[in-house]
Amino acid sequence: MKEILAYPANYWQTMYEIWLFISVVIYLVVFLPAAYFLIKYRYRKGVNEKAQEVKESKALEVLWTIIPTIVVIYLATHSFAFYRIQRNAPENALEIKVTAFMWGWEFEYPNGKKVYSFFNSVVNPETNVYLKPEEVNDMFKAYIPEDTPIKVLCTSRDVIHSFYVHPAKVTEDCVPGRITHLWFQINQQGDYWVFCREYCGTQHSKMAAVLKVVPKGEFEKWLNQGVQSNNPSDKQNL
Amino acid sequence: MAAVGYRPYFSAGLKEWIFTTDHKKIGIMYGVTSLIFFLIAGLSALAVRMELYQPGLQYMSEDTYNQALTVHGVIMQFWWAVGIWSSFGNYLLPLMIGARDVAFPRLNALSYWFFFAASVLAIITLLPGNHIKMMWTGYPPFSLNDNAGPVAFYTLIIHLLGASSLASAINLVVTNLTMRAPGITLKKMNLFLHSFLAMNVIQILGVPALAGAVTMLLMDKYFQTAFFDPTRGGDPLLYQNLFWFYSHPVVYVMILPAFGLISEMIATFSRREIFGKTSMIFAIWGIAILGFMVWIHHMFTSGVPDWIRILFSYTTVLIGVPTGIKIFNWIFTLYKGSIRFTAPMLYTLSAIFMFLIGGLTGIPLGLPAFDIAVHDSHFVVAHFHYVLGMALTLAAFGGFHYWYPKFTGRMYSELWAKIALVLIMIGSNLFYFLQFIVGLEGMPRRYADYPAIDSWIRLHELQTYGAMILGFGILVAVANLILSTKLGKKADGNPWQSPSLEWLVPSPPPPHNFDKIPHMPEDWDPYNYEWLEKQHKKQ
Amino acid sequence: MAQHEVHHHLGEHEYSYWPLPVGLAVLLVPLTFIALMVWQKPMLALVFGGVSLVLFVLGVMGWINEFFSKGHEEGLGMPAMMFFIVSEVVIFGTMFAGFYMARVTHAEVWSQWIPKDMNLTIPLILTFILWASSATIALAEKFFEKGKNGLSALFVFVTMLLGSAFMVIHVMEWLHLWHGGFTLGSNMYGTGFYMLTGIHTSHIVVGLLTMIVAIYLLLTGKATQHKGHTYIKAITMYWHFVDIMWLLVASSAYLIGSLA
Ligand code: HEA
Ligand code: HEA
Ligand code: CUA
Ligand SMILES: [Cu+2]
Repeated sequence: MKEILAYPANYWQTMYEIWLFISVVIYLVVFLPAAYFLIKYRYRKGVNEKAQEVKESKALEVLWTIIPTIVVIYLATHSFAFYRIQRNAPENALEIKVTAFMWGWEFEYPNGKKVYSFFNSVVNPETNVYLKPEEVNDMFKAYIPEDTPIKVLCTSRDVIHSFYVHPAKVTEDCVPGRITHLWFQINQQGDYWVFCREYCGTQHSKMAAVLKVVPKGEFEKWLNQGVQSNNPSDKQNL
Repeated sequence: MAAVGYRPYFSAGLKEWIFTTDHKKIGIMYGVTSLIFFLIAGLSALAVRMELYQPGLQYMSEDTYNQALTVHGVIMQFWWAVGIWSSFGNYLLPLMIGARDVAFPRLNALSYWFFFAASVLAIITLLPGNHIKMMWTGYPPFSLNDNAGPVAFYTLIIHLLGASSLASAINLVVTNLTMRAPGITLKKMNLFLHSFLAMNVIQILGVPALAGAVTMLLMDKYFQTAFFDPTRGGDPLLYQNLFWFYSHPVVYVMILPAFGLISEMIATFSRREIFGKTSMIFAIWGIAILGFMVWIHHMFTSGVPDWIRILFSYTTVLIGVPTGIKIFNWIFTLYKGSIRFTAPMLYTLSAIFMFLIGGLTGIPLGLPAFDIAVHDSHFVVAHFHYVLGMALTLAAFGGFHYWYPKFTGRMYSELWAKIALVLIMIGSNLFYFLQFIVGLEGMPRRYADYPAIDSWIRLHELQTYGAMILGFGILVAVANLILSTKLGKKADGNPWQSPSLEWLVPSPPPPHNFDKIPHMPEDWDPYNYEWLEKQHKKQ
Repeated sequence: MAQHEVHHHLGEHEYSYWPLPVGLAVLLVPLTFIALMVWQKPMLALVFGGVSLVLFVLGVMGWINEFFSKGHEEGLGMPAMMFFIVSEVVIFGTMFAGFYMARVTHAEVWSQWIPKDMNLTIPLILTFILWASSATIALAEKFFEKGKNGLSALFVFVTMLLGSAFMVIHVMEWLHLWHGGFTLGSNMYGTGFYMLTGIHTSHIVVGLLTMIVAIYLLLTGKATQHKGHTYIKAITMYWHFVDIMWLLVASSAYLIGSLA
């Protein structure tokens, strides 16, 4: 079995596969009879000039009311079960506070360390073209420990933004005046995108950040590097 | 039956157009306005597509992109997807119920002038200095930010359109309920009229909610109220709730009349009454009512409490049931029919199968476990382009062709109509289907620029080619419709041999429609094709 | 029903000069606002506003005149009015939604937002005035149906007096609160309070304007059982609606709003 890159993307993947299967079946259930009727009952001179009498069939109508009802209720219930897991972070998750602003992100770690990422820190300053995630300067990257659940508490300083963790397939809006949450866990080292998913103006399409996933030990070292005093006035921005 | 003083549309002077209260002329005015705006919105979509062709900004700045996309979204939604039904509805409703005009002809003209006024404002926003860049959803607090441009335009456009829709909806509902000619019972009424009635009821209940929401926007921006300012007790989500309370039902405002046209065309070209007409009517109202109970599905990731998300996921997917009933009924209408593959029929069939894809991809969006990853991605965009850009647009173009002889008295070119359809189908499927895939891979929507991820680049390239083919197809279809007004063969009153009332008057209909209000006999039914043949034999 | 006779003379009813000027007048309203607030050109706004007013008055007068000189009334006004009122209820509903959403989510801080000058006697007086006006307009309708146009006009006039008194007292109350520091922008209570009562009062204004027309119709004898009947009935219904709405507005904006 292939190792799963990120949680809770695996639940999404399963949901996707269930839905895809059901949809293809439904599509064929509609399309195949339709195609057959279209060919069989096409107008032909002298053969099929007139429609034939058809009796309404109550049984058929009940059938195509009941079966879809069952199918959709099943889908919604399955989604319900998954969603509880996708929404509720595991107990031991590391909490990161994220504050979005036009146009960038502020990450605050439990010990007060902050990382800022701006719209112009993910592009080449000369050409204004997106860099590859690994080309972005490490200074602007939010470090994330490998194999550890992360709980993000998000808010915004100005307009609505949305925090989308690309590999983990989770999104949650960052709304001024509210604190929203989501969680994810990435199991492979590397650099991954975070995008802003809610339209927020000129630089919306550049409002990205990079998550640098590193082994736990390295993360601890990075976290305690150059932390300012735990002065409460640091938090005034929140 | 031609009445005294009848003049075909083209020879009527300007004065006869701008002072008209004739529902047919007003219908045509709506149609022409809608189509012009469709082309504007389509061209701005092509600009958007060009920019997405490659990563980086090649042709325009981010601001221009955002403006082009706002223009595209607003105009496609309100002028094309909603506006075009005012055209069909105004033209067909009195004809189908055997009335001379609508209940309030002058109010009807005024509704058009409101629509026109909104169009003028929309054109002004295209001029430099007045650009709005807030997307069609216009969420605050962003829309209150200077970066979004003058929000006044957006709100006042919505107010004018709202006034237009409301006046028109009230007018047409009253017409439909009280002015049916003797013999046309609610049960016998055309299915298009049932869906049009449901659409107008949705408008009456929904439009004021949107008007209220944008009024708050206007007040917050220009009069310092606190509706959306959390520091003073307001809440940005209030707007989203009110906006979607209308703007979800509005998608059924858009699609129900399209379903109505599909029913008309499927019946006529299968030469059979629609299978399960009664369940069809129940399904229409089921969709209309359920439609008001699902709006949170646009806000699954917006910070509303989790239990509300779950609740609304159930109501959302349940809408698939009445919609499914309609689809199955259409398919079984084909059963034992005598199917003619004319251009409008082919447009209709394409619309059904494309709607099916759009509808089936709406279902996972209603599941929070799935939506959490694709919300505001191109997957959503692809979903609604299947239902709007394809199902609705194909149904509307099908309708243009189907009633073309009625509107103009001439026939369009069957061959070019079919060529256009092939181009449209190839182009749109290439475009919109790949949009699903790029969405599944995480591409956020409303992005002027995107990182150079290999698969995204390839997918965007192909989509742009698709959009070009699609645009070309639409060009062919529109050109055919325009040129045939001069070049087309003369059509007789009832080329499709349909007993529906609008086909029993000459084409184009005389100004009063009916010299005498018809009394429809017991055995008449808009889908009783035998009845028409019997009538022919009698003569 | 009326339309079964051929009552429209062929060709005649297809034209009317009046919708277009009214439509253009309405186009100029947003343009006035935009000229003033967006383009910051007060002179232009003045021109737009003036032209709009002229077009509007001309258009509506022409419209009313045409209505009374041509064609038949088909009695379809009442269902239309009913649908219109339904949509009005939804408009009020949006404002209530905003008000109550804030009331519930900010219950703890709400008490700090209540101005000291808020008192409940004035809304009580206003309520009595409106109730009285509901009664007088009902009487006006009764008299009209008995064919006593003069008496009917008198009672419409009394209703107008009561409506105007309501407005004057209300505006004074607003000014008082506003000068006490409780404004539209103070907080969500201020916003909700002024928006609810403000939208309600704008309906009072519309009601009063329709009554001026009603008095004109009654006194000139244009309102008879044959024509204008729907008009009188419709404005009566509208006024009752405005009165009922007041109960909801007052109990929210004053009562529930000032509950600490
Ligand atoms: C005409 C327009 C139209 C129509 C008809 C629909 C129909 C549906 N839509 Fe769609 N939708 C839009 C236009 C439309 N939508 C637009 C414009 C947006 C984006 C707005 C924006 O953000 O800009 C959107 C967005 C949107 C979202 C929000 C996504 C997001 O932002 O994250 C959701 C979520 O639930 C959704 C769901 C649905 C569903 C469940 C249906 C259902 O009605 C579909 C029902 C149909 C079927 C299911 C197929 C037929 C049924 C059968 C054959 C029976 C058997 C089926 C089953 C058992 C499943 N839509
Ligand atoms: C009825 C609704 C409708 C319709 C029909 C369409 C039709 C099209 N749309 Fe869409 N679209 C929306 C409604 C619609 N759209 C909405 C609501 C949004 C969301 C906006 C938002 O995010 O706020 C959206 C968003 C949207 C995006 C997403 C951009 C982003 O999120 O970053 C894109 C990108 O590809 C796109 C493209 C297109 C294209 C190419 C067409 C084509 O089908 C257009 C075809 C028409 C023409 C091309 C014009 C006619 C042809 C000519 C004038 C001839 C000349 C042309 C040639 C010779 C090529 N649209
Ligand atoms: Cu921040 Cu988009
Ligand atoms: Cu929806």
